[in-house]
Amino acid sequence: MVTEDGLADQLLTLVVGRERPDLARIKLKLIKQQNEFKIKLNELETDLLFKLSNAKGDILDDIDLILNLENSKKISVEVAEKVKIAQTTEIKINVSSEAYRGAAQRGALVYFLLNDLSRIHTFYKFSLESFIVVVNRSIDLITQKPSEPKEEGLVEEGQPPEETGEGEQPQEEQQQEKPPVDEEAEEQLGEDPFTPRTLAKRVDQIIDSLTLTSFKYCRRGLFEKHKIIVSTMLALRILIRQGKLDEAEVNHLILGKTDAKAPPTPDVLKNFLSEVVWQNVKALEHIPVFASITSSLEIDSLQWKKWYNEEKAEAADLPKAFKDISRFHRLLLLRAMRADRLSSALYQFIQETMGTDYVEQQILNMNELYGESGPATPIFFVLFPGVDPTPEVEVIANNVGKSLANGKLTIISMGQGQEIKAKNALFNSAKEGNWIML
Amino acid sequence: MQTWLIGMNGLEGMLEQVQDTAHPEFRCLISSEPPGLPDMNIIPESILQAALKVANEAPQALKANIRRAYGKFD
Repeated sequence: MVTEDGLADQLLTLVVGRERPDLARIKLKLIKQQNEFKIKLNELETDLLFKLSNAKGDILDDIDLILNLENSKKISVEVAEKVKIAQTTEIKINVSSEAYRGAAQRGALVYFLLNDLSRIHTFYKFSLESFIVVVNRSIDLITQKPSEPKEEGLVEEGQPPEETGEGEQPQEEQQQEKPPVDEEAEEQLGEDPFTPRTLAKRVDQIIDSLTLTSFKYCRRGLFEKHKIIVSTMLALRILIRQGKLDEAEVNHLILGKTDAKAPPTPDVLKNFLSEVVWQNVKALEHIPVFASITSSLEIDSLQWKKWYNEEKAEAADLPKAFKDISRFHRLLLLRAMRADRLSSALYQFIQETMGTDYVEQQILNMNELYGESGPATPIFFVLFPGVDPTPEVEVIANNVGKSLANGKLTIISMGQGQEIKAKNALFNSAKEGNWIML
Repeated sequence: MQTWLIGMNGLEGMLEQVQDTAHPEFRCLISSEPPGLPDMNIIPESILQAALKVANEAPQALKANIRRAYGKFD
């Protein structure tokens, strides 16, 4: 089983390969070169040993052998120099690649979330191969036009004008200026197409596209009741990773902790708080923000009662002492006291932290679906009462010339005695390039 | 459901086998009702893993609205 870091490494190679094919190419070349060096050195060694062991008479008189030895020495020195250059180039490539690590890590985070979803339902299974297709598509979506990365950013962040005489000129006129190149390998490496600022922007763009594309890919197959769970988990895991939320507090929200050993509900609260809610509130005390929650409840019981009885508690003002707590802490409070309003509050939370795309779903687009499918990527419809995808499948099939009438679309209802028929139809369809619906 | 399941499991290996040499225009579409319980395996794992999954349920909001409307008659 791959680890999240291991997957991030793998995705980093993918993203850099897409974004900086030049770097990927040079890296490949370097690996090849290094192998060649190894082979070359090995050959020299074998050759030398062979000649030494077969030398007759005094070795020092064997001019041929000595010349060969000299030659070997020269080559190995050359190789050593080239290896050194290769190493510096490799370091530079790695530094440039690392800039994309954030995108790779986000990809790994999303894939691990997808993997965990099989615990919710057996239908929620995603292979790494199919996920990688999605990652590639997410980059395609933001790489339609040939990129023109040389933009305004260069003006401010251009090369500092050291040593070069032209450095005296105003920087605006030097957008095309190349940094001084002194090594052969560096020349191959070429100029970084991004400035630090445009690069950061591009990486953010990849992160956003990757997250949304893979979320949509997953959401399309989710049952309604699971959508809010998955988008919440995605938002929370991202916020934890960004250091914006505390993992222990997030776990408190997910598990909904309660304090079974809490003392009885104080009299002032008894008229509106149930024992269960009181125990939930006591459990909140372990979270620093809520350290004074129970004393506030007792002191400000009237205000709390007012809030507690609001129909839309998630939107109502909290008593003074807790008025300014974060959106996330509000979720914790709702979870403890007004669980009925939690899902509504979660929608708002996701909308604010992730964006509207994560709460509003577009109507299923069959053409898009067809575009993502392939001979090795089947489409799996979950059937619900009163919803039959067959007519829509027929429409998209007809669009590409596959119809029941011309025999290029076969529909078989799986059931008793259909197995042989289905197998034959499957084999035939695959061979002929037809469609089959089972 | 049972016979259908057997049929599906028979298809698992077949689909993989067929995919390697399949014509580029070949498409396989599968439909199934959800299993009785969320932890029941009724569709071969390899198919689920590779497939684009589509659950086109009636929107929850609508259902919730109807449920709430009914609730008022209690």
